[in-house]
Amino acid sequence: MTQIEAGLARARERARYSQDDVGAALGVSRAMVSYWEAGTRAPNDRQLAALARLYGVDAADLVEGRDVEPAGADLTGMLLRADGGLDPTSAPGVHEFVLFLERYAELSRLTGLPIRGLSQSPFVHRARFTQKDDARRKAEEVRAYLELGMGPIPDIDAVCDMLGITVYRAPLGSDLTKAPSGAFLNHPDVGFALLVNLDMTVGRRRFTVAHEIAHALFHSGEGRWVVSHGKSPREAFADEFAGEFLMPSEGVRRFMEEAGLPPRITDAVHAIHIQRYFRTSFPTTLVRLRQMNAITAAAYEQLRDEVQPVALARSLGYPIDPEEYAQDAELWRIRRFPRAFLRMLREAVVEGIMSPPTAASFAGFSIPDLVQILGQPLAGGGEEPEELRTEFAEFEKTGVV
Amino acid sequence: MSSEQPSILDTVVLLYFLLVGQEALLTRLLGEPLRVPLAVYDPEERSLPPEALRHSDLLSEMRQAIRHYEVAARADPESSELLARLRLVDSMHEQGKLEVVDLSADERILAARLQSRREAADFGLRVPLGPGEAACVAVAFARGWTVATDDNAALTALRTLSGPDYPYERIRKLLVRAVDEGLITRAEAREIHDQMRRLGFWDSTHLFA
Repeated sequence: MTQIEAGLARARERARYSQDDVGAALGVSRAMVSYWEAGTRAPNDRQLAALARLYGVDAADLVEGRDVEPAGADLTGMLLRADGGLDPTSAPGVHEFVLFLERYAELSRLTGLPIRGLSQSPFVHRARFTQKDDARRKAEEVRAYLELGMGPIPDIDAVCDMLGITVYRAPLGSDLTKAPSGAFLNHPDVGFALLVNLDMTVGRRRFTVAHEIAHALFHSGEGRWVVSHGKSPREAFADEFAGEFLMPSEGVRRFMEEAGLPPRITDAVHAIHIQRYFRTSFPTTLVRLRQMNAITAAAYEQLRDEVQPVALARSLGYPIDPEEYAQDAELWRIRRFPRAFLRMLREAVVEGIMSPPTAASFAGFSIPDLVQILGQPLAGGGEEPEELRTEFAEFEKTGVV
Repeated sequence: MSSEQPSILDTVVLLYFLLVGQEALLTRLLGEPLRVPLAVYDPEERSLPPEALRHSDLLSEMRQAIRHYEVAARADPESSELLARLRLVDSMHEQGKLEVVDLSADERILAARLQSRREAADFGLRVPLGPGEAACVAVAFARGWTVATDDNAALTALRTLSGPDYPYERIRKLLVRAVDEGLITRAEAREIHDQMRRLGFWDSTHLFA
């Protein structure tokens, strides 16, 4: 067991975790991690496998005490050191992101399916894009490039797919004074990749994706990564971009006009209609309206302080995502992965490159998770409605097929 | 009648017999107690703090499956029923019907090598095994136990280690044996298999038919 002891502390340090981080991730005390590293006690087999996964090393290296560089250690280190150093609570999520990218690249090699990853921005950008007007113009430019018009963006991940940007979500901590909202990384094999903090509200996550798109498209020339934390001109640019991208001024005005809303919003119900149409968070909506001078400072403050936006939206008949009341990272166990990765994983199983259990452990899924990805029937699927057959029959009768 | 030599049980087999409520049949086929490695089921996880449960990919494979159904059960009554069946794994352990096997130092090293990306090819694999399968293969090889799995990759690794004549059980093989031994009728076996298929159990010939 002496080999294990020697390897454990080294692997942890190389992966840039404290003993506290490891204890929290595995559900043991810091003291226990210390005992493992001192050889006073030994991790059990499950804990050893979990440590290997957490540190990004082969379990064999841990067991045999080999000193190896963990997968993605340099990238993880770069991200964690960014912006003067991130809070340690973000470390497991950042490491998970980097390990995911390594796995994605490996899966691409195994299946022979390419990752359509953007590695250079198609947009002209000059160093230190920071001006508000620049950001708004650039948001319009990206919308035009993607032919998105002026309406809402129903699926921000689909926008990233169109651009060739990979999005991954991981919990990074809910205290945003310490934790980042997200990060951008230009990965050598995957290309542009975004990390989004799952510990934020649903609306804030969407905003963060748009924010990180700004970094990817307009700041990638300045470095391989950007961690979104703190306030800098670059962060302000990305915020401005995200607001205009999700709620284009012209689109908001057009909607207000068509919906018969007054040019100055004072009624909470009107604000909710705008928010639900553009699928943004209530704070983002109010801030955008304020930026557009479509709400007075007094009305802004009143709505900000007095409205319960989820309850009001529910009473107006809007469907409510369960996460609008409380974030639940567990709901994102599968959805945290980009759809292209899940398609590739499915392909690996279909083509016999991986058995289903191997594919499950490769991605960190349970067997039922994997079955769900494979599109196999699961509990609760129920019988398909008979009306589908009737619909087919109607089409076929008319001769359109 | 149970098989002569001890068996080590992989997640897939335990999971699907539990999901269809046939854990008693599994015990009659493989003998009591059923034996699993810690990577498949870790009883200590019941008392893990919420913070640790955020990283579900670090849990044992059975606990990960339970977590899946815990989430699904929030919106789906059928999943609630399946969750209750899966949670029986805890009472099976408490009652001594399920035993966790500790790996020896040599088995632990072999299990680690089976999970190694560098060494996968040495075992005839393109991708390394997961922790549960690796532990089962290591125990089966070192102790000459029967491995009960439905993972082709695990069986490939065991064949590479042991040669062609290694003892193993698969779900369908177990159901056929249950019929042969008169534990269930052929119709019951077919129904159990169909139920498993409805719950996503793969069949290489029908997986994507």
